[in-house]
Amino acid sequence: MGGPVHSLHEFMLRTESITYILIAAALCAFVFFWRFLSERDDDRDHLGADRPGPGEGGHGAH
Amino acid sequence: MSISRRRFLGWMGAAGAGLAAGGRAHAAALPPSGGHPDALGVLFDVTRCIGCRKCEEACNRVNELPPPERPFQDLGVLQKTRRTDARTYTVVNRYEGIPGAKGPLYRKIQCNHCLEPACASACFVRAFTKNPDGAVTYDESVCVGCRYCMIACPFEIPTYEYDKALTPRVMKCTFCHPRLVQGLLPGCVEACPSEALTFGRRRDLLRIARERMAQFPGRYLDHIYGEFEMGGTAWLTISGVPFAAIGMREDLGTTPAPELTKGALGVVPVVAAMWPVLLTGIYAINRRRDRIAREEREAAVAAAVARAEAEAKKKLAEALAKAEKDKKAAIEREVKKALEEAARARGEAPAGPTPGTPGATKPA
Amino acid sequence: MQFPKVTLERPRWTPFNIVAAIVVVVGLGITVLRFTKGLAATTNLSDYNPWGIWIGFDLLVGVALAAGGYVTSAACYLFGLKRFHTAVRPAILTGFLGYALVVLALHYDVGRPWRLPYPFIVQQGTTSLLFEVAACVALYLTVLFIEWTPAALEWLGLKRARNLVVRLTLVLTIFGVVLSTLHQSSLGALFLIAPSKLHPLWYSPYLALFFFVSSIVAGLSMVIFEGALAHRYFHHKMDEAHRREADGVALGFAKAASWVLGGYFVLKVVGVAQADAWHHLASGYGAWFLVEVIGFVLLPCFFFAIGAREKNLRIVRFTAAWAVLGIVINRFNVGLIAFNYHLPSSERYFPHWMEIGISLFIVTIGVLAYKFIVSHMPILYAHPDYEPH
Repeated sequence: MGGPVHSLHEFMLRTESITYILIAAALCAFVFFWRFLSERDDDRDHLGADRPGPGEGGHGAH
Repeated sequence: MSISRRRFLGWMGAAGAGLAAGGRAHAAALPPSGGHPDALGVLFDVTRCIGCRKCEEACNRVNELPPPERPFQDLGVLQKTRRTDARTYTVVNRYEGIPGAKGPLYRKIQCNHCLEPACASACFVRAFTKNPDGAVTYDESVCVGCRYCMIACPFEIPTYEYDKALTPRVMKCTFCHPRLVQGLLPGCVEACPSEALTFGRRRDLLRIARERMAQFPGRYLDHIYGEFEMGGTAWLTISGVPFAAIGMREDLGTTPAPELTKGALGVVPVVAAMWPVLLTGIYAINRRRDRIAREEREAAVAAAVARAEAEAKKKLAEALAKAEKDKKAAIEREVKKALEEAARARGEAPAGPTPGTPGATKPA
Repeated sequence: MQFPKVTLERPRWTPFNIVAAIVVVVGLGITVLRFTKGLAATTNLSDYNPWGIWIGFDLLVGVALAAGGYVTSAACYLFGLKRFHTAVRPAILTGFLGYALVVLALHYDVGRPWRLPYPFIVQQGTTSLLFEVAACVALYLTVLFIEWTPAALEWLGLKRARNLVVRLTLVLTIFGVVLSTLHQSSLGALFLIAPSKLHPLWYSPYLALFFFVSSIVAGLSMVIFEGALAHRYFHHKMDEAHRREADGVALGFAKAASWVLGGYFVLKVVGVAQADAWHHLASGYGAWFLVEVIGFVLLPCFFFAIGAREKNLRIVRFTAAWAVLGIVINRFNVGLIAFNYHLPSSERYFPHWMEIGISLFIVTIGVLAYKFIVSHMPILYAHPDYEPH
């Protein structure tokens, strides 16, 4: 993606492409970071750590 | 970890040098614009166009487009206002009865080859390229056919081969890019007999236009259409009558197309970064609130149970104590009674065993 | 676990079945024509009007009305409104079907549909908002599919796979809301690039926000509306929990929809102020704009409020249909009616009957798929073998 940039379009092509890659990386990183963050919680069930999942209220079962 | 002043200043210097070396390509605060400095263009002079349709004919020939329904020599075609279509990259229209004009005026339409092409900005497969020579070209090998370029183009230039079932293409003027590469003129410019079309570097054309305006005072309006419209176009037009009168929109503004979508595109990473944070936060808060509510409920239940238990114990203890007391009292009463009886018996008949009373041996 | 038996009942010639059969047969015929003779033979699209109802209705309206999935799952799983739990599966199902049909419709509209993956695998036009829309729709369709699979896996009796998917609920829900926010708003932002073609009353830098906020209304209203229809036609399929919660869902969603519509109305008015487009209100387009904003935003807002306050389900359900119609009108206005407002009427677009035929065909396929799935899979009831998630 080198080379001189002569227009706003080329500039945005570069910035947006990098941004999309960053977004994808960030979204993946969020998942692992949240797991890391709540791994040692007493009621750990975040992001599928050990319980069926969140919000299993509804019909009472906890 | 402390940063020494000298080190900090060193970093600042490096950043400054980087900025200087990168030139405007790296000056993020001011994104580049204006296009390639040596980009080519064409100046169309409305006052010189005679509506002969020679440019249309040449365009059709050099681009190997399908033959027209009516021959190019047939000027009767001009009676209807036309636009570019899938078989026609350029069109000349006639405008009559314009105040201030002596006779009919003609205007040539083709792709204006924007400096910041809306079609290129809108295309999600990058099928459009703004070439260094100024031409905006289209690559049919990647085109999906979404036609968003046609929505985006403010000049309504791109057209579509709707009649092809399996291989439809977007069709539009290429600025004769393949000919420019060979050092040839665009077909229309080469064919123009009245020098209504002037080919050259865009920056030179702007100067030429100004010179003509100075040379013929009163002949032109002080406006080079395309100098700033939609961020500027490679094709420029000068005219003696308002551009709106010859079918050119004067309300397009000067904002280049990418600028129009920049804000919305900028929100994308913000949402992608902050929504998970906010939503997971809301989830976690709710979850915690639920857990605390559950714990409080459990604690309250436990406390109630404990209280009830304590009360029951107390009652039992009291009952036991009372029973004990009653028992004691009963024994005492019985012992007393027995003693009294014994005393009485001793008084009536000395010696002899005490007759056992059933109440004294049984628990009360 | 036993593999379920699909009992295909002998088709009965109810009026619905007859109409559906006709629409499907005609639709198949037009499909053949579309892919042998091209768009010119089947549509009224032109060089001035590259987007017709296959975009204006099938894409813009379809995506907006499929917003129920993300709205409901966010309400239940993220905002902790567990009383709405039974509404999640039907909403996810209609969302999934909606998006699947949007993608199907795009195959008719684009010139070379087999190239639809090109923006991802061949060349990325990242400066285009359509790239963002395409990426998000593709990803969200996948998310909805995964969110929907527990129902199918329960039906098929694949317990372990089902439990695996259920564990992903939170990630999928958050990812779904992110993707929905992005592409719902970007569908509006698609038109930002054409300020000279969209009428100033509808063109606004807030277009993205308008589309996003109104998609929430569309999602809430569609859940109420579909819930009412499901109660009418699939009552026997519902379990006790579903029937018990249904009224609460309708009333709760009505209150939310009213509140969001209130905010949306303010935004629309501010949009006019920001564009200083007040003088346009006096024109024909202005009258039509007022019809949209007062008749299909402010009034539904008010009637939702009345319905929620009075706990009147009849008003709530009626208003839901009304609000849905308002969303349809808004998307039509932006995509078709107020777009190209500057052109003479001879150059304006009106759909070909075959375009309408394909749109009906696609909606019919959706209804038939919904009927099949609801009749066979645990959508309106909890499967007895599984804990609800």
